Amino acid sequence: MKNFEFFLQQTKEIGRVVAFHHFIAFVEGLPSLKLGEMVVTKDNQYGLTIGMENDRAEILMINAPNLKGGDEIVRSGIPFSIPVGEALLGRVINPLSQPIDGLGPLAGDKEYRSIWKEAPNITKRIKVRRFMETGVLVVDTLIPIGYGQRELVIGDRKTGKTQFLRQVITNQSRKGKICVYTAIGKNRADLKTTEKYLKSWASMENVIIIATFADDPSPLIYLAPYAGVTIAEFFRDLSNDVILVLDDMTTHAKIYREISLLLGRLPGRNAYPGDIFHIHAEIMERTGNIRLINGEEASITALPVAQTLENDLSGYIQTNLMAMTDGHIFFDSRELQKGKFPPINTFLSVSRVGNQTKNQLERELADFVRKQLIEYQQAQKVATFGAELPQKTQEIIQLGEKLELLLNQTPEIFIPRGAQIYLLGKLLFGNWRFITLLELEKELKDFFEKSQENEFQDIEEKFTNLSSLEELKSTIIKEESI
Amino acid sequence: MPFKKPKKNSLENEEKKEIIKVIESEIFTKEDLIVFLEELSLIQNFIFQQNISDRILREKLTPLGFWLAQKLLSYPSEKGNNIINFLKEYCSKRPIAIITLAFSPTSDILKKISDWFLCHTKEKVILDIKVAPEILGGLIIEFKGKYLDLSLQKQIDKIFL
Repeated sequence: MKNFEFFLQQTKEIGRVVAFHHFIAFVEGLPSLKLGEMVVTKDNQYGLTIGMENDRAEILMINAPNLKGGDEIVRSGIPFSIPVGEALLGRVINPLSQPIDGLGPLAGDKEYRSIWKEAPNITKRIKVRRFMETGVLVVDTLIPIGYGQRELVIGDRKTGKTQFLRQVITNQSRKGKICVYTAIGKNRADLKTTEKYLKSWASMENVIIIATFADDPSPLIYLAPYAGVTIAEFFRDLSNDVILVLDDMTTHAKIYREISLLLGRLPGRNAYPGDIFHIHAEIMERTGNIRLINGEEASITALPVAQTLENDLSGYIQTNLMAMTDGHIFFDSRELQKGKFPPINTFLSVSRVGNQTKNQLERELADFVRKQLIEYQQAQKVATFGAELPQKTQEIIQLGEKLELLLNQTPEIFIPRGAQIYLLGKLLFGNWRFITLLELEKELKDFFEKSQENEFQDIEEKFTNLSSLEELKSTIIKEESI
Repeated sequence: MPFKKPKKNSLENEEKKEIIKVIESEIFTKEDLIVFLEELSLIQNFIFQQNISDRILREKLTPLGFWLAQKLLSYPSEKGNNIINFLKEYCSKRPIAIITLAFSPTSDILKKISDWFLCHTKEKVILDIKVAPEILGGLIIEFKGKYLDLSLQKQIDKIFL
């Protein structure tokens, strides 16, 4: 990146700091400065122009804690940009694309991309029509996600949201999709756990981790989702499908609130600035399923995370994010207390565009599962009275218990689509009607152990391309006879 | 015939213009301006005291300050006070140009630079002079955010780097 002297000679403009506090510099001079432009200090520290008043500009200094009054600043003439390239794959970086994993500098070609970019317009957008397999049975069946969808992952802290996202990244990276995990103001220990998990399970050559920690400067944390979506756009433009995880956007909202209040902007609801919706929406709108210039289809599937308090889905930021996404997956702490994993409340979760990625068979299976879960829930309420239950109710409860057992999935297990159809088909056609819960648990355990030995290919080939319940039934009968 | 409003304080405006003309011919640098502003505060205090002798004024003020004090102390206190407040506002609004030279300039050079600014910007500019021998010659101008490097060092760097 070019330095202070270079930009000074090029732009022939100079500004001086009149005040500096909390990483915000107020600068006079620089008559041609634009919003979003990058500025450079004499120490070659970078700043971002975030606001302008009559005679001074508000600069967010990314990392210049020793700036003082009278210091010189020049404008670069370019919007704030970060280096992007294939060299980022497999690395842990900060939002300025500087590696922080101790594996040395980034090797290979890089280009500089502005973090401010307009979202693709309507002529470029295509319907979400390709199914994105998460490897988690309950999500793939009841809350399906497509490539290019924006699905919010929402729930209280420590309910397994990040664990679910790790599973998604692992599953998708193994399929060759590029995954960008953006940690926004996270705990160092939590991020280390994520890094360790992904290094053990995922194909790290397809994963980029953008890390900002809670003790990082606020401007750096503020930039994290912008850096994430910029890097995702780079790979999308190379005709890749990219999974972008933003963990989590409620922290980003708090950081932006802090910055806005320090800038003296008028606080709105809950002291958040008035443009908080716009800040998040402009990031979300840059994702989606589009047709590139070369005619190919490529996508950025966004999985933003929102934290709730006491399962309250009606919070300000939470409802904002729900409004700008195509559905949400709700991680309910009450389900976690019942021992479910993942603790997803399927009745309060929704995928608005996921169903259009499914075929007829998958829809029928989903309807079956949903119906059984509703009946099971109602039967459980009756069972709490302790009275003797009719035969039909007992069958519903038994089937419901087996279904819940099937939907329980630990973090090390990834169930491919074909295997999901196989398992649900067995449940639907009563193959497990006469076995106990313990026996089913053992059977499933043996079945999942095979996934680690990669013996699912057979089942994948037989079950992935089925299109009707009749075909499924006959294929299951054939499989069982083998 | 249309009614003509009499000009208020037209005599006071003329006096202000006269004072400003003298100030502009005497004040060139930021240091001069700072000293002058301090003297204005001192004169403002004197206005409300009685019988200040010329000897005391000469001791405490520069020749420009002495001339101004004599003028203002001859006016009624309120008028003198108004003129001082006007001068303070006028001086604080003067744009400042940061000039970096390789040597400490004489008053002739300062006057030439000041006149150059007056000619090109049509307003009185206060010069903040910085001395940096490493530029070897020429000057570097910073004015209203614009930066112009006319130093000898830059020319030499262009040839050799």
